[in-house]
Amino acid sequence: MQNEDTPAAFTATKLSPEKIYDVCAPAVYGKIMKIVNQPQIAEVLLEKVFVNAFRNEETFTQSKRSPLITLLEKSGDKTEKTIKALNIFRECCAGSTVSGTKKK
Amino acid sequence: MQNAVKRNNVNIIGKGEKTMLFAHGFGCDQNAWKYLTPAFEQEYKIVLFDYVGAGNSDLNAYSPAKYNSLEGYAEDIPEICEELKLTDVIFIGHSVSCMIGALAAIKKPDLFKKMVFIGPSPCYINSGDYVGGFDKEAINDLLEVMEEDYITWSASLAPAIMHRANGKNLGKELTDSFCSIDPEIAKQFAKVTFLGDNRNDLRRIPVQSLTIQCSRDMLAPLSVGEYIHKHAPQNTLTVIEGHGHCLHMSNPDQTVAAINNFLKH
Repeated sequence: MQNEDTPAAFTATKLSPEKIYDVCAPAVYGKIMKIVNQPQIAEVLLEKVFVNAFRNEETFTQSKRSPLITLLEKSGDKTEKTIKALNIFRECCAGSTVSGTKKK
Repeated sequence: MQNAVKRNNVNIIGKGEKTMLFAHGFGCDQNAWKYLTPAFEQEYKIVLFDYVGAGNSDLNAYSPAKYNSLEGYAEDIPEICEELKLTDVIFIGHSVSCMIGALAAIKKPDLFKKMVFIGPSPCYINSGDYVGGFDKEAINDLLEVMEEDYITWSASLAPAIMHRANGKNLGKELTDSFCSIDPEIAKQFAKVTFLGDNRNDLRRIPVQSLTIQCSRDMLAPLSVGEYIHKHAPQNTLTVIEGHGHCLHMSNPDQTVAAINNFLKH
């Protein structure tokens, strides 16, 4: 018998947002880390992926689809978009490391 | 009027009579010109400055209302020129500064003799037949990322990760750390830069201009240089084979040659 907490086995109709987070976050975080390899960035992206998912009800209303699969897809997409955005910023200064000025 | 020299941290070098005014792009400060200026120091008076929010500019001079458009930044350029009594200025701009300089020249045409645009873009977002290089979503992603600690993030990601996302192999990458910007001010500057559309201003540029375009520039594709060449009166287009958005840093010798060739005619 499958364990209800096994990510691939559940659907959102059975689990609260908190439970979905507890069950899926490690895998989603792992996916993001695999791309960016930076915990500081991965933690922020993880939060964004979940907050956006919970705000968008459609993410979890497809009863035949595992929320984990949806979240993994969204995390990959979000991470790649973030890197592209950072690339735009970095290209502006030819890849040089830009430092912030002193605060007022 | 506020002291523009202090506000914009103006520095003057060079031994010549003729004046070159160098205007850095988004994400940079006047240090970005350090590879280019030595080639002109003997023949020109070189005026360098930082936009408010960049380098050693006076951050207290920042006004979100004034700098909510490129026109706000453009206002500062004639003020610098007038305070220093500069005339017949050869304007050298990079990236967004090209349009800032163009706006300044439209408003005060008598101040400028010629303009050089390095990696210019009048509009970064694709629109109809116009290929600016980005869709609106990509720019929105950029602005969203800038709500985070984007400077640290950008610096912390390994080049291989950045390059892979870029979909191509980058050429020489500069790794020096010499530019500084205020992260909060840069957010508004980014919005003004990347959401702006100055295509209709191109035809109003009152002096001869040179567009120096990199053959592979993620931020300003070749189509943008061609668009400027087509719509700005008296514009010359020079394409330099290379990769990146900062030819003045990655290909300074070729950039200097292109500028000298333009100025001698």
